Amino acid sequence: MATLTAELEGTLSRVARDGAARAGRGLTGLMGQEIAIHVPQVRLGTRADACDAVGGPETVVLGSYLSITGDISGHIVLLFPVERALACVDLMCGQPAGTTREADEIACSAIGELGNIVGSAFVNALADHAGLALHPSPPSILNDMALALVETVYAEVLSQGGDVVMIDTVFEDARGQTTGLLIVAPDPVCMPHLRELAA
Amino acid sequence: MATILVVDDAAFMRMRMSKILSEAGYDVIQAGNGVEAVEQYRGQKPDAVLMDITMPEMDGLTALREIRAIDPQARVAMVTALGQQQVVLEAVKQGAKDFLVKPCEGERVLAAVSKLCA
Repeated sequence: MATLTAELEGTLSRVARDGAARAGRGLTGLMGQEIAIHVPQVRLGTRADACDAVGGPETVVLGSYLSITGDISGHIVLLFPVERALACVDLMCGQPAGTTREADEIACSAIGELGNIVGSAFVNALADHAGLALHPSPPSILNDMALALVETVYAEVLSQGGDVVMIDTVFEDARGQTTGLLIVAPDPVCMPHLRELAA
Repeated sequence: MATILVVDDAAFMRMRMSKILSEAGYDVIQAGNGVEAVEQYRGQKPDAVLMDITMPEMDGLTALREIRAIDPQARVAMVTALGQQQVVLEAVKQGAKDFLVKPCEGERVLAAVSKLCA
């Protein structure tokens, strides 16, 4: 697995914590109940690392995708193995764990909205921290095997040898917690710019 | 109690908004895009509309124009994402009465609807 420079890791960790706090406030306001988001680890990872973090390349995952445009372009994906995604849907709907049993329209929509809130919060935190103009797109729902999604979404980035930033993302309410993986993939041409900002 | 039309292509957001409004005593009808919203407005004449902006088939701005053509007194609040300020300004020019920024807190939703229905 690749490693971040200490400066960039520190910068991205601060941005991720700020984004998580913003997303937690957004979710808490939307749901009318306290939902906290923690980001215990930020690291660089290969395609294989990303797949392994959600249970392996053949694990069926549910998530959402946003593109970033503006001063820096790139991609953001929030992925969960399906069973963890359904647990997150129950958390967002204020339902007992196990209520949601399949990725139906409401479940997919809830995961899309979760990705929208978390991804946008990260983008806005990065924009504020770095003094950049960044614009997240509306979310698209992802539901497929992990490898297929990672291959498809990051084909361009990975083919150019770009880095993928992986952020473990823990969602927690009074009843428990579940973990997803937030993947941030700046277009390769932007990575040096990010490193400069961190320096 | 007033009837509110909730328009959003995201089923989860329609469900969440509807829950907030129905628990406060409002009758709620829903539409998943601008085309459905115009049809619902023409058929049901709701007291107020909460309208998402980015939707497939017909976006919120177009639906706002069409609803205002049906009923120039229509009371519509736009529901926006961060970064859509220009669209909000355009919506206000076209007669939108208010706007909410996603993710919307329940209290903010109820305050907007109360203002629209006043």
